[in-house]
Amino acid sequence: MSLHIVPRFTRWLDDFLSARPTVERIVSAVGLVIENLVKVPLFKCQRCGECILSHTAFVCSQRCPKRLRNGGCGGTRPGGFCEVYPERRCIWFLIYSRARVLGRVAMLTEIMPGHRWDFEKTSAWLNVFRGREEPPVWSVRSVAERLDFDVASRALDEREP
Amino acid sequence: MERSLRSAVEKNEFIVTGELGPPESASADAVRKKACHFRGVVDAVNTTDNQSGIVRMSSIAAAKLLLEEGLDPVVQMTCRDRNRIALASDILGAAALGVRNVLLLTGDHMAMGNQPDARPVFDLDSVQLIAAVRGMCGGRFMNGREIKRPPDLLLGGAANPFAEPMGLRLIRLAKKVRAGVDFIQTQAVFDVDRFARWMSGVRDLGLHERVKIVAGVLPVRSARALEYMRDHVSGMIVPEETVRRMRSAVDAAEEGVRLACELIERIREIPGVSGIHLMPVMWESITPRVVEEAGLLHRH
Repeated sequence: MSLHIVPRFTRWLDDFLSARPTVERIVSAVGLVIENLVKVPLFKCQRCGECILSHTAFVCSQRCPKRLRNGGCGGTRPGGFCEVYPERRCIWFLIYSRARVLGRVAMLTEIMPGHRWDFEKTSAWLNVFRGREEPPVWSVRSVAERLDFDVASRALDEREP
Repeated sequence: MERSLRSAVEKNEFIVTGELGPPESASADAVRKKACHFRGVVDAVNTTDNQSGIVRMSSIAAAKLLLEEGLDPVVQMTCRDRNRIALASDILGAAALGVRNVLLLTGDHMAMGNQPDARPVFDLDSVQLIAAVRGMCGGRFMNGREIKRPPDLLLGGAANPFAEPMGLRLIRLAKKVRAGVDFIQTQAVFDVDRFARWMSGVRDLGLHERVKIVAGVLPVRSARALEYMRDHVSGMIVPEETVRRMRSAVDAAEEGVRLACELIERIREIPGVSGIHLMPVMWESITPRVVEEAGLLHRH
């Protein structure tokens, strides 16, 4: 089910909250608490307020020290370890590994636009309901035209000695 | 201007670029002195942007000095120290000063440098920066606002063919191509076999036909310099065999030149490679010799 089928509700909610700063603050705080209860233990959510977990095989990309949304960076150490914390695996290494298991590599080919830093520490779920950001994309088929990348990247990995 | 990156790209010539690290001082002479090694030898010269997170003269200022010397600079810009407002402003400024090429990077983390206490910015990442500057060249800021006189720039990006996993590298390269780069400069190649494997992936996706792939070559002066780079420069992967070869050389500097020429020769044979990016860190003076001995001087 796509959240796009309820545009009238999202518009109403956004107008309603935008006009009432106190209500907005309370709803936002409650939303954030509920969201944190789920996402922090499950995904080590960094509360960026603009969730792209569905694009990153459900590994939070914001754990990257550079907060890369289109990673991984060129500084990755041999074996796929982090440039900044050599003892940690690169988050994007983990994302890619998980994406291969889940068959979601094609999702990684989508360019993630610049992060809206004004959404930082707000509830991503509420932002989706308010129509302020894109809803999660569950189906890989929606990026089916890029599946050739999936094939090519697998082929390339298999060429590894 | 004798040679320029744009003319090499447009004429489909084999590209040779150099690299100049601006000084850790306000000395314009230091830049001018290094500039003389590049004239008539390379198509363009990269000016690095506080590489490894160590403060140096601004890459745009160094580029302006190179322009005065008749060279075509490639201004490197990283996302480490500037947010999207400062980056866009510097793009306009660089273009106004006559810069015609930029290399857009995420940038090494400051933890790699000598001021790890600085605040990391990373407002955008390199893919987003490329998309933003491509938009600016098309007459729009990131927020959609119109630019009356847009910058006219050749956009570059970086790729590290040696970082793991290789499949992810390819995806990221494809994103940069889609975001709008014109050329790609790679991390220094020492392991040619592995680079060739990466290139075969690049060809499978047809990316070499959409952008110029310029392979990085790093001539080194000594085994110690090589080991330092392996251990302290992020993303630099040096095979043990190369270190051993440099260590056992009688004349290390000569061996360094020989090694660079061998690498260039082998890289040129790989289909889809459009050029060589020479980056002799702290050894800019060797550039003309390597270009000549690798047979790249009269390439046109």
